[in-house]
Formats: sequence, structure tokens, C-alpha cells
Amino acid sequence: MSGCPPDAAPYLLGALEPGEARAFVRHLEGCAVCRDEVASLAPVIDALPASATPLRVRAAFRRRMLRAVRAEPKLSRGRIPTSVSRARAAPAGWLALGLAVAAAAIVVAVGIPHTRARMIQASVGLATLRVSGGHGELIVEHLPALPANRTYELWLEPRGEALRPSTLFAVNAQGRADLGVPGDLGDIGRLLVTVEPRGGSLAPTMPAVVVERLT
Amino acid sequence: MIRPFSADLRGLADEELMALVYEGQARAFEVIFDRHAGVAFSLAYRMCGRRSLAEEIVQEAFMSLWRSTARYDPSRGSVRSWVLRVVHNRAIDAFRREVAGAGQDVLDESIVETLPARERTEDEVERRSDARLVRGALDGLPRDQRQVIELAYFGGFSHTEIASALGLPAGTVKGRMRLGLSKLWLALGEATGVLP
Repeated sequence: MSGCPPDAAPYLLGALEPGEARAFVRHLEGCAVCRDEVASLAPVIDALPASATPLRVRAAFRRRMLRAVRAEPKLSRGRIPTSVSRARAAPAGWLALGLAVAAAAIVVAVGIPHTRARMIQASVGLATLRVSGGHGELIVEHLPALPANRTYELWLEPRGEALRPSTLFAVNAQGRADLGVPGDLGDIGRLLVTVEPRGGSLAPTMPAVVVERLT
Repeated sequence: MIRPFSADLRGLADEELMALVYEGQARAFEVIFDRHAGVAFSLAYRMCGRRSLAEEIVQEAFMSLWRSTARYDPSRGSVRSWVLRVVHNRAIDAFRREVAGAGQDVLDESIVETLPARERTEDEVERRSDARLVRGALDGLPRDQRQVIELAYFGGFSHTEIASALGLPAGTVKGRMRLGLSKLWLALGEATGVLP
């Protein structure tokens, strides 16, 4: 991510100056790497409030709040588009869930050192690309199991060209999958993995949870 | 449409409740409020250190949820995360309006209601557990990383304000924030079993 501003963490913490924040939001529109970093670290930000001493709202405040709501009836505007109905999660559950969704997308300085010339570690996510004779095998790890209406989708990005959809896959109980990458890797600049609706998509609809860069 | 009783509503997921809130059902809103007001108030109080201001912030956040549920997008996170982000942003706005300064999380037992052991519900016990877990992760950070994260998130200070106060280059502050959040991610992931 050389060339990217080191602003994902301060952006999430609300610590950028207003002009910097606007510039970073513009940068995010065109930078998948920074979008992935933001998506990965967001669950940590969501967890921070839990460190505050747990307090209970006063009964008087609760009554005042609910009176205010009932005094302000709203017009029905139909149902919101709930795409996924998630079961209510207990606090420990939501923390784990948020982290699990981001588990493969974390972009941190904990990358595994390259131990062999033909093993390429992902710049985003926990994955390894094994390249041999122009062909590749992608091993992803620690990806959460998906609900039945979702699938992982592999994308190939030839240098200078748009992403093209490739393989749909699921992970095993350990969150791992080994997939052969179709075709020759010769002209491929990046491999990405995203979560997509069952049946796959023609273009990614979610941030990448794995990014492999071939240099 | 048959309107469920409150007891039924309490069994619904947040996203299902939000659909009812969107239709104007105050009882669904009440369940959402009861589910998330405690953590929202705890955050607001941690940030501003004043009960009245914390209640004002929480009320603004929940009223905005009631008035404009169109702004809640389930594809972008949970209801809880959305509420907490609104509370956090409004608390920072309040700092800037009133120069309230960073909350110290020092409880004045006479003005706030903590959670007495005999009255704790299952949710509240879990909140306690989460508090211990996240605090433990924060405590495990090097002091300089924890400091910049807490000043930014709970204190509402910008990275340039933190850099100026600590006599550090802005890049160093940003770097500590990134390292600290990354380590928190790892610590929380291990503690919750997400990471091996």
C-alpha cells in the first residue's frame, strides 16, 4: 500500500482533521486496499465502547425518551431492505462476529515472511498463493463459514484490465480452502476474494477479504 | 398487519425490529432502545463525563434513529454499531460545542446507575464480560499506543492535537494508532476465538 496515506486508523478513530477526512474518503473511493483496511479494523472500533464501565440508563431518562418517541409518530414508509436477517447476537457474540467477518481482511504489519520464492502471501487476508509453472493454487485460511445464500468468489485482475469473475468456493470447518486458479497467471496482477450472493456476481459487491498481488 | 406483543418483539433480531421501527412501531423502538441504550449511555458518559450531557447525546442518537431509519443500512453493519457511531460522533460534536474535554471514566456513583450484581440481567452480565475483555486488550497495548487511541476515540482529539500535546510528529501518532488498532484486532480475535 505504498503511496496510500496512513490514514485508515485515524479515520476510523475520528482523528483526522476535517480536510484530511474528506480527502481520505475520496481516496477510499478509488483504493480497494485502503477500503479493505478500513473494513478490517472497523470491528475493533465497534468494540471500543465495550471498554467503558457498563452503566444502566436511569428509569426516568428511559421514560422521557419513550414519551418523546410516542409524541412524535412517524409516517410508515414501508419496510427497509433487510437483506440478511441476523439473529440477535449477545455482546460476546457480536464482538466475535464482527471480528470474524473481518478476520480475513485485516491489513496489519504481521505478514508472514516470504519463505519461498514461489509462495506469495496476501497483502489482505490470511492467504497464500503457490505459483508453479505459471499456474497458481490459492490457499485461504480463517475465513468464516457463510450462510447458505452467500458464497466466496475469486476474481482475477489482468494488468491494466478490469476484474473478471472466476471460481466460486466455500471453506471447510476450519475456514480453509485450497483452489486451483484457472488459466495462466502470466498477465494477472491481482487476485481477490469477496463474499457474494449465492450464484456469484459479475462484479464485486463487497470489499475484498483476500488480496494477492503478483509482481 | 398483526402487531406482535412486546414479549414477541423481544425475540426478534435487530434488523427485523428496525423494519417495524421503519413502519412507525414505537414498541419495536422500545426494544431496540432497551437493548442498546446501556452501552450507548456508557460510551457517552465515558466520553463526556456528565450525566446530563450523556443523556442528551443518547437521546439525540435514538431520536435520529426513530426519525430517519432510512439512514440505517443493514448491509453496512449492525444496529448497535450504527447507534454507537452516532453517539460517538455526537459526543465529539458536543466536545467541540462545549469544550467539555475528555471524559475520565471516573464514576460519580451518586449520579449514575451502575449495574448492581443482584439486578444484572443476562445481557448485563455479558456486557460486563465484554468490558473486561476489551479493557484487557487495551491494557495489553504498549502505553504509547493505548494513549493515542484513547485520546482520539474517547477524548475526541484529532491526531494533530494529540501530536501537539505529546510533542510528537503527526506521522508518529498515526503510526501508533494503526499499530495499536492492529494489535487490538489480534488480541480480541484471539480472546473471542476468531483467531487461533
